[in-house]
Amino acid sequence: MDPTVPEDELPDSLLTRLRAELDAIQPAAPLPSQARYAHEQVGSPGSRLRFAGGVALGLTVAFVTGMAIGSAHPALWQSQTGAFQRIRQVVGVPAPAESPTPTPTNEERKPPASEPSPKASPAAERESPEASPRPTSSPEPETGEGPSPEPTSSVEPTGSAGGDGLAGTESITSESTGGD
Amino acid sequence: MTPQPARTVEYEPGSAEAFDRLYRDTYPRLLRTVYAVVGDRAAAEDCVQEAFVKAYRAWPRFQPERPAPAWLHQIAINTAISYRRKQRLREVGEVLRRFGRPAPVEDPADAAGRSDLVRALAAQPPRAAAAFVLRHYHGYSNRELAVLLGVSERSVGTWLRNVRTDLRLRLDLPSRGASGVHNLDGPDSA
Repeated sequence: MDPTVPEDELPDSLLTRLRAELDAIQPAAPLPSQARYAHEQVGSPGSRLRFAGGVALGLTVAFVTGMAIGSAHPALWQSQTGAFQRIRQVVGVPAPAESPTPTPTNEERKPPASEPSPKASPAAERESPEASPRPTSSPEPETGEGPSPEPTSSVEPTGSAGGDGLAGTESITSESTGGD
Repeated sequence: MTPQPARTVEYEPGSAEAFDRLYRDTYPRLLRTVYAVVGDRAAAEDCVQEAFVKAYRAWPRFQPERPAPAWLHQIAINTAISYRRKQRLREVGEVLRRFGRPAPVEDPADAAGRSDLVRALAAQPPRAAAAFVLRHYHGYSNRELAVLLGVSERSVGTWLRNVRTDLRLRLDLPSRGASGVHNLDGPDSA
């Protein structure tokens, strides 16, 4: 017998009993207001809408608060401060006088020799080599290679130091005198 | 007399009003089907209410191509199957708890409320019992049952045949052909 073609026949007695048994189950008029799902608050669309609105409001408040008081990330503040100071340099606004805070900024942490070179006057340039021992102690002048720029060391003080020029003239004069 | 599935009624998904109407239309039928599966009126009402709660949560996502009563029947049958499984576990736990003690006597009120047929149906595998009621009481076809229960038509036919054979044995009915038979293969069940 092929199971896909089942016996659709049922004894009359069994069918009558089945109908009688199940017809006897007569529920009272089903009122949706008394159903369990009517009291289900979790899945109702209204409660979902309220929940979504609350989440959106909370996110908005958090965003506005974050924008108002700034980020708590220190690196972000440092980068913002550095960018501001670079802009100030480009524009030419002088830095504020003395900061009461002893902590050095990025500018102050830079090597002090690089700062006076672009702003220093020629007189100061002439004075600075003698005043600071660093240019004379640099190895380039002693080797006698001349005033060729040194890319690796701090460029401005060593290259523009007056000691180099003086040494160069001395070597030239000695060579010329020796040659004669 | 046999109530027919309301296949032509439209129920708009997500509409609370449509769901209320669906509840009014299908609650009695679901209750009878689940009653045949679990064999207890109070448990059947609890399962059907739970099934409507599940359906209400999924109502906005309901696919209107499917008949809503069949969809609800599917949820109710699954709920009844879960109930039967939990009931079996409870019975095993009860047997272990009262190990060595005499078995409790069944409540006479419960025994009187349940007929031999309902008890025999509740003793069947839940899906097979549901298929039997849906086929022979609600008038679903085997193909519709296969879709509703998520099995092949062959499985549905096997279940129905097994249930019929078992009911004949349990209820001491005459074998097929010995008495008048009723063919339920009407035009509505195609």
